[in-house]
Amino acid sequence: MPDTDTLPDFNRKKPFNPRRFATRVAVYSILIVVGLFTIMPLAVILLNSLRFNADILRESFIGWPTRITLENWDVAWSSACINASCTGVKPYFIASMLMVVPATLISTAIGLVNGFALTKWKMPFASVVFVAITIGVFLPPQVVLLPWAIALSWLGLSKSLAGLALVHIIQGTCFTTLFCRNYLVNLPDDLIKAARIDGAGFFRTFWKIVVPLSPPIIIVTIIWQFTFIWNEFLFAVTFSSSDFRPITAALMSLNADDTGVSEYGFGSAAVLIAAIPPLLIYFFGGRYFVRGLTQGAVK
Amino acid sequence: MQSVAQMPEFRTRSVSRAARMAQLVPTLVLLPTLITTGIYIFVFVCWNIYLSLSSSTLLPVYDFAGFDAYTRLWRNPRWTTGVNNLAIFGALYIALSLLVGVVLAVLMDQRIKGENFLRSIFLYPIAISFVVTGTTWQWILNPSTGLEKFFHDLGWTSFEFSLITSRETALYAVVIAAVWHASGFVMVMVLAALRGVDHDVVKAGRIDGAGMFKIYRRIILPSIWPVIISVLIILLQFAIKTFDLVLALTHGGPGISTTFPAIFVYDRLFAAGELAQGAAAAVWLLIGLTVVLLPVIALGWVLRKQRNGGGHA
Amino acid sequence: MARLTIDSTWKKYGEFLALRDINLDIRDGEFVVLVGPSGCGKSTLLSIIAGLEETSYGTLTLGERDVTDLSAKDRNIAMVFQSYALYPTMTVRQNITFGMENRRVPKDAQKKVVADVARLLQIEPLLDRKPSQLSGGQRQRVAMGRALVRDPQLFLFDEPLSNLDAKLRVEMRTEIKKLHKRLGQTIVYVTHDQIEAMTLSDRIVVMNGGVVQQFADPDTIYREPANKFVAGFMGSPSMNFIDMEVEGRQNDIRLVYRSNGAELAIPLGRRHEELLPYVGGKVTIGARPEHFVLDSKQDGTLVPVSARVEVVEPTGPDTMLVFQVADLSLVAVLPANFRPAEDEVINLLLDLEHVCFFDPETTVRIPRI
Repeated sequence: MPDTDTLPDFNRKKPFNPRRFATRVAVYSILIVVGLFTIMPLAVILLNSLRFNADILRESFIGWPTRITLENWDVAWSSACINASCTGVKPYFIASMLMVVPATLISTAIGLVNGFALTKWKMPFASVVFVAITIGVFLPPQVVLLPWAIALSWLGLSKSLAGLALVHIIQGTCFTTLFCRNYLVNLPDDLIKAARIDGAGFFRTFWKIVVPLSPPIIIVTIIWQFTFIWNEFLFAVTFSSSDFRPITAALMSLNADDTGVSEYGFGSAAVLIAAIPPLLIYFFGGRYFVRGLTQGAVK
Repeated sequence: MQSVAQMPEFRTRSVSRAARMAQLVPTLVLLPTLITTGIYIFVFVCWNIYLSLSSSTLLPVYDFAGFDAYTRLWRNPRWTTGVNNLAIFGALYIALSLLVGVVLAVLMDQRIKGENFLRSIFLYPIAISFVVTGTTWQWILNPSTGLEKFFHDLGWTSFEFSLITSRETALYAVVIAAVWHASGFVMVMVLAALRGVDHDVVKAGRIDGAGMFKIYRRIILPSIWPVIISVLIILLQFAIKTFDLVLALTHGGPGISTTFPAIFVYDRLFAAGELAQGAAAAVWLLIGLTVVLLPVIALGWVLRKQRNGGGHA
Repeated sequence: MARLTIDSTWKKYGEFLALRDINLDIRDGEFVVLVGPSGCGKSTLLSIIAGLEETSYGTLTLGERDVTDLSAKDRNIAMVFQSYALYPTMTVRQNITFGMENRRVPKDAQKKVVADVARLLQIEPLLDRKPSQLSGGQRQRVAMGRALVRDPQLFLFDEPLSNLDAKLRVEMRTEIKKLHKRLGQTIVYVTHDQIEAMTLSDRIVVMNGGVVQQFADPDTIYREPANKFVAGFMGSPSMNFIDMEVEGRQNDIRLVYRSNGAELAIPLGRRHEELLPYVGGKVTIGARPEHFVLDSKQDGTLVPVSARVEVVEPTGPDTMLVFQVADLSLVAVLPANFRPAEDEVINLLLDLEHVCFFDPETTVRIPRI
């Protein structure tokens, strides 16, 4: 038996190893340099959004603010001119929200119930569905762009919020179903069997057993869908008009607007406003965001 | 002990109504998705192929013009330049993103203090849209406002950084922005895989006297190929779909020096009024994606089969 | 409580025959254990009884009802799963009442049943906890509680003890047996553990390759296995099998094993006349490890065997001996105090009274006359 009264000295220092020390210094240096490079663009536009445009033009786009102003944010939000209408990014931001939130929630809900049906019930055509949604995930959007445009105009949804949301729901359901399938396939089959013996049907099992167990994948899917649809540009620019324009499409117009003096100050603020919703989601749900990447995508 | 009986004729037993109803619900739940996805994938793709074979220009015309649009396509310098650009960009983008991502992941795997913080920093670009990425990098890389002016103002007047304004090099500006956007993603994927590697194997390697560098190169990295292949697949399709990043960064210019196939498709369909040609270009995108993805997927499949095949009784 | 009749039941998955012509008649209140190696079809059979899988052919009768086409919830059965399958997001109480909620049992009745079952299984203090806060043994009890509240005609257990550590497994085994004694329910219990099968069951079904090999009480299964598979599967360490030539004539039968000059001869004399038809051919002799003994205390059914000791493995209560006879490696279980040296040549006695003989072609046991 060891002597428990006198403890040995746990604080013994390891002898200094210069090679190991040098390696540590190198590792940290590289990580810090790459980290600074990665953070630089965000830092630059964040600082510029607080600088006067005159200062930016005089000094450089990259620089520390000598005077601070919040005017850029105000202008960018409510009065900047994009495509000759001086409303700021506010209407586009709102349009994006109105389109993205329902599209995200609906596609996530459909994906979850689909995933449940696909993994826990013997379906005669489960493999067909699986192949179809996988193709749907990989399909380049350009291939369906023209048919979508024609189909939407037949449906009377051409260049409308509902039309764009519909496109994202149908396309997004492929993603969400795949995500949820990959998560739910790991749910023990015995749980579902136990529920069957307990007399619960499809929807009761879904509500009472599956949904309470799914918050991780629901959060991952919502984060992922929201970020994807919010950031999406091709469909956004194709299926929008001056009445309804998502923020990515509006931002491109601002960017392409080369006439007159470049307004980097409110431009930076506008860019940041467009980036804020996904960034907020990313910084608050980062853990889930990473999980979505590593779980959903790897399989 | 019973003797093995003759197999009876398995007739289809009449399943009770309750059992059939129970089976029906999940089918009905999946049906809408099956229909919409079926339309989305098969009907729309075939529709697009049909239009690519028609003589449609400004408006869709449902006739048959053969492969006219396809042949005209390959005579169009906007298209051939785009394909060329995509090949160079794709190779550089994937190689550099993988390189940076894997190196970062290995460095992050060395019991780093503040790992979560660093990971948040490396990964945030993936949450930012290509439009924002492109716009920001355009400002930074622009010689008259960005890095060049910054260094000039610091007193380094001979510094020249005109990547984005030169026809020859503007494509590399796109590569920089795209690698910035994707390497954090690669790092996170690879790091997660590194964490999943069996620690006993690493211990065995250390007892066998291999240094950490050798352990990574010979033991750990070869064992995470499934993740590398997944990453490769994702990057490949990112590359082929490259569109908004370039529009925001260079507008495809100077001239048409950084045009891409996806830009060409959009331009033909909605600006130039060449529906058939745009549809044909889109078909080529699909073919291209299939041609590059299939070997990668097949490779993953073969490797998996090889690994599983050995242990199977 | 009810009897369960399984009549010529087949199950086919694509081209794979998982079950072939299963005929079992399980009596009211009987504890029947299905045992066999993995992939033998025992779990498939249990799923079919539960109504989680459909039969490809055949009928199931529970009590007086034909339940072949009834879904799981309408069969009036309860099941305890290997993983317990407790609903992780519900409390113990909600886990137990979920089935009753689905059957719209009034709240007061639910409360009373839960209280009764909780008292019976001594899980009252656990009722408001989540499954993740319970130990393995407690989860096991809750899973049984969930089954008990249904007051079913038939209990199904799918390897319920395999996730517990060795000590707890023995305790829960005893508890299940007590519970069965007390409630007298009909139970079908799947396991791959032959000790569980022997100790718990009234009758055992040994399965292999989707076929019932034998359906009998534990003693019969152990002493008179229907075939070589059952003999080898039940019992640990396994039965020793030797293919031997049968020589001689009536009243003087000899079994001989020859290989590379080495020879093992077993004179049977006038015993085991049932082997007469095999004279000139071969039989497989099956001797359990405990059929080898050291001292000749009794009658003349013992034949000496000269053995070279290979490995000695003391297990505590016994000594397990791996030894060589001719060029065969055999296993014996001997008293704990017997510790020969390795490579020592010793004399063991084989008890001919208990050994079994199998037809080498059909592997069926040759019955004694």
